[in-house]
Amino acid sequence: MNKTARNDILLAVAIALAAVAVFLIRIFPAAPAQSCEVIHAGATEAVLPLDGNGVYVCGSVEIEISDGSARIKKSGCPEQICVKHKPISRSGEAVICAPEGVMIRITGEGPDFVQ
Amino acid sequence: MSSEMKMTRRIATDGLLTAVCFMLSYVETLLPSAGLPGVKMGLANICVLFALYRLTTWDAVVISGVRIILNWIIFGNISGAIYSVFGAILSLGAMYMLKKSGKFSTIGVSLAGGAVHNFGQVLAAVIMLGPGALGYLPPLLILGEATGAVNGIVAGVILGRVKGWGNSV
Repeated sequence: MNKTARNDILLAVAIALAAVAVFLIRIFPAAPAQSCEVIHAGATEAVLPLDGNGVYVCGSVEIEISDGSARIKKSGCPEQICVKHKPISRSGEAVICAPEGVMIRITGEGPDFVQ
Repeated sequence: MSSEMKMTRRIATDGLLTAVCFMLSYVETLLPSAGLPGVKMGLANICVLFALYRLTTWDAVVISGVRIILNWIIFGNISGAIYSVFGAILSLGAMYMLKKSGKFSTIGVSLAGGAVHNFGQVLAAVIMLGPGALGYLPPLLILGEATGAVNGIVAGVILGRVKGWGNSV
């Protein structure tokens, strides 16, 4: 392969990489911040950002936020159904602890649970 | 040849190339646009490449400029012309530099011209419509590479076959 042909190919690859770079830059900030809404007795008690880590206590219910998902870690309810529920991370997903009157729900744009 | 003769010949040559350029722009309007606004083959760039290699940079500028004005008057809208002007200025600049470097074939020069033209178009769109227009850049760049390569190959073939033009002008 002669030198000009090699340069042509390098140029083509560079342009393609630039296209991919712009594409990725456009995609990543577009992933909007999601949050976990804590609703107690019908009223929103807290809105926790999903990108943080921590435990929020609401009455006898402990809500844990970690790795971009939320779950109910502990609850004073008899059945413990809410605690057994898998962690939630997509908009529209929710976990309800009926006996304690607590619901956690994911809000914000981004990967949508409800298709 | 007297300098007057030379000038006459140059005007005739540029006029001829502009006519071919314009015809190629028309042919382009008949081709489907791959679902994205502003996606075109850029066939007119073959003429500009030819002028750049065989005539002078200024001939290429004149041909490009007259083509855009004609296109605007006959088919276009004003916003299309603004995108074209932005694209054409950047594209000519890039092609001139790459050609001058002597390190690329017509394919490389055409690729760069196409990519920079797309970049200029998107830049104009970002100024006029807002940053959302940047999303058009990746698909335009990728499609532009394909069409740029085709144009570069065609220009290379034409330059190889058409003798006795240009440097004698």
